[in-house]
Amino acid sequence: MRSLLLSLLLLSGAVAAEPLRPFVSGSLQQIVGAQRGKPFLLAFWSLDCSHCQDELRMFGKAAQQARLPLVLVAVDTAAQQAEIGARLRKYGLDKQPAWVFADADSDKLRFEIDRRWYGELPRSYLYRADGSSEAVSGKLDARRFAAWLQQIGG
Amino acid sequence: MKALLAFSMLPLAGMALADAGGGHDMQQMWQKSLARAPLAVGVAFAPDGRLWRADVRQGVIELAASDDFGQRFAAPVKVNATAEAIAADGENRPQLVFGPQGEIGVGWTQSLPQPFSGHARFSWSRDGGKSWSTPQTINDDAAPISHRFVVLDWSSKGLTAVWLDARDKTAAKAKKHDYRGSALYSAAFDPASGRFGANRKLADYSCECCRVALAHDPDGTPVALWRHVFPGNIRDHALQRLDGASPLQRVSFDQWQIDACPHHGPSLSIAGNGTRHLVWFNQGRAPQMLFYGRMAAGSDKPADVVGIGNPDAQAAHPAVLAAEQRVLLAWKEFDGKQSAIRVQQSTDGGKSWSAPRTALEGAGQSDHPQLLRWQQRVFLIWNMAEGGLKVVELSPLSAEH
Repeated sequence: MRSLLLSLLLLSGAVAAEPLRPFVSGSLQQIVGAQRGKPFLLAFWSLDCSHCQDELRMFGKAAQQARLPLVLVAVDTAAQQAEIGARLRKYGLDKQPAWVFADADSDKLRFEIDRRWYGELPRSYLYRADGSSEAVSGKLDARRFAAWLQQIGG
Repeated sequence: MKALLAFSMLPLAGMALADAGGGHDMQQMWQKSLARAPLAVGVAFAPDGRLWRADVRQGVIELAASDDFGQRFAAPVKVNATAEAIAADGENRPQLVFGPQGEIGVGWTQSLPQPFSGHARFSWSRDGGKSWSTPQTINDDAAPISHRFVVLDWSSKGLTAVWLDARDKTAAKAKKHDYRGSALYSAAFDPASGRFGANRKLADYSCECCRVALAHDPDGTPVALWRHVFPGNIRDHALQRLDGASPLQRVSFDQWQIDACPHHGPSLSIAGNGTRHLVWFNQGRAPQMLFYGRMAAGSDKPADVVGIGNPDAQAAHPAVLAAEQRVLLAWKEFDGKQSAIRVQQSTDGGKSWSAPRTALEGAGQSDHPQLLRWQQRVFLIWNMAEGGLKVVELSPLSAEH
């Protein structure tokens, strides 16, 4: 019932879509700081990553059920923001905080995020309350994602 | 037409971004980056020793030649008269090949407005680049799905195109069947008609968005190396000699099981004695991620596989080139401030290796490294946002110490 009400609320457009934010050097600290020590999921994706779409679909379904502490970062360019916005709307994720890579030197951004990330997508970071995180390359396993949701919900 | 529209609208986007909070003028920054040509450049030596480069500018492929090994290039000529959305990134770059009669062939991937979709395109010139054929679509399936990552090889056996094709995946999905990844397709060019012929499927289940490496055996038969999706979602590498009879061979065994787009394809070079030299990226045997291996003619898997590069410095996007017993490896590393192209050499056909050294370095965005050969000389080519196209000769090992 609660999820139904929430869906109706979302459908009514009462919650405004988040503007796409430019991800630059220092943005990661800003994102982590804004969570104020609460666990959250930081997910990197791109328009041309087919496996990312499966993951976005999974996130979208979860976001319909309950508030999802998920921050999305598109590893595309700001010039593609219209497409990025359309894709997020398609999966019902346009209310999540969303960022887009906004430094032409994406190697530098990636190195700053994680020097052991080689650009494979999707790439997710499961942040714990203590600020530490676990990196996952490839689509998050549905069971693992469900377990994580349960863990942070309880 | 739709693709052209989507392309022409690109520069209009990028206006309404939220402020980064750091005083960045996002609009100006993006206008600037759009005006720049993409860094993914195609390069090749013509039989006469001139070095050619193919750049993508505003939807047009521009070709320019250098007669001093890349120090200066002449004014460019335009290949496609009508601009189209041309993919130009690390894994998708303009393809440049030369035929036996001095023909110049250019291939590229045209992006379509639908996600993950594109056409493999081709144009050629028979007058040294003065005039160009109307671009043709190589894939004979016209659906707006993926026919991307096209690569070309022009050997004594003719001109071959190979690309990643989603028609079988699309057909399987329509029947609600599972299909791993994409498929590898090829077509042969008929110089008499100036057209690519019927498309032929080489293999089901390729990875979807990693470049394909294409070279040829001493007899001119093309050989493809690509990231494949083996059962259990294992993204290792496969090699196939395109003689219509040779089977697909699995050539990497790193067991990288992942639902991901690595955007990180392999490289292949075949020596005059038929030995295949391979480099690839995989995460199944972390911490090492880049690997070199070689296969003597007729062998079924690589021998003496060695890890290369520093995994803590983002070692990535390797290239390999075999000039008989001399074998060169090049890859990119990043230390947080600067990118560097690291190289390693072997003078005994890939059995033993020199210590890695930095051949080029610089700040800012850059392309993947490429290795090219002119007679017995080997050149490293690297395109940088700041500094442009760098071409340096890699001297024989003895001269380095």
